[in-house]
Amino acid sequence: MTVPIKLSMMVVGDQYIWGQLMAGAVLATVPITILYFLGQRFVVQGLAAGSVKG
Amino acid sequence: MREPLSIRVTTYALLALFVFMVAVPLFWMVTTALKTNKDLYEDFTYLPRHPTVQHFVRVIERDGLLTNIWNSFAVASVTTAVTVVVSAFAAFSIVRYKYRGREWIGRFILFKYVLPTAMLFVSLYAIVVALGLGNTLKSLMLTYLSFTVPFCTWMLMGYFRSIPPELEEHAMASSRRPSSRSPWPGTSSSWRWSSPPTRPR
Repeated sequence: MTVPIKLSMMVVGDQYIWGQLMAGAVLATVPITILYFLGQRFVVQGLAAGSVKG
Repeated sequence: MREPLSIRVTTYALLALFVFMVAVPLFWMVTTALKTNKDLYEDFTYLPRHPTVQHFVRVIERDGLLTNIWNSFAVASVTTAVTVVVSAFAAFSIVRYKYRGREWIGRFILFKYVLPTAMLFVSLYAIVVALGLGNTLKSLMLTYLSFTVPFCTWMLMGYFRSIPPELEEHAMASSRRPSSRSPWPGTSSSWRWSSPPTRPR
């Protein structure tokens, strides 16, 4: 199971356990944030190259 | 040259609005995760009165969320790696080499890109079940690949077109060892010369 499936399975019926849902969401963003800061240089460069090339 | 004050004020006001729209949900997510259940359900506060990590502990220990994060990470990494390799070679071959049906392969990639994704779900599900891959991470990787490879191939085709072929011709003409000239016009050396400009610097 991947993260989105797991988080949506934590909702039972109309019962949202907000604290744990949001804690899960925060945890799931951590790896993405780390990766982004590692590759930020390339993201900015790619945006510039893409905007020039159209 | 500086723009007039009114334009600068409008620009910053719009930017502030966008920042607000992005930041408020993030703020809400983090504060909700840190609130105690009393703060969440009984009396409302914007900032958690007693910040707690009990939700994080519960979500990791009882629900085992780290496994799910690892699964997501594995699917995303494998998909990215395979996409880069496959679509770089595909785009290069479509742009540089002459063979029958080359234009139509390029056109079909565009058709796949234009096709609404929702139309594919039923048939993709049937294919995954027929392959016996139901409820596996492998099936998810394959499904994502069918979305990402055409897109990346199309983007890279545009990029490879922008690199002058003269670069490769020069490489072929000036290669000193005849053994590095391959039997087909420039198979190895053209890749060697045209792929470096596409790398991130």
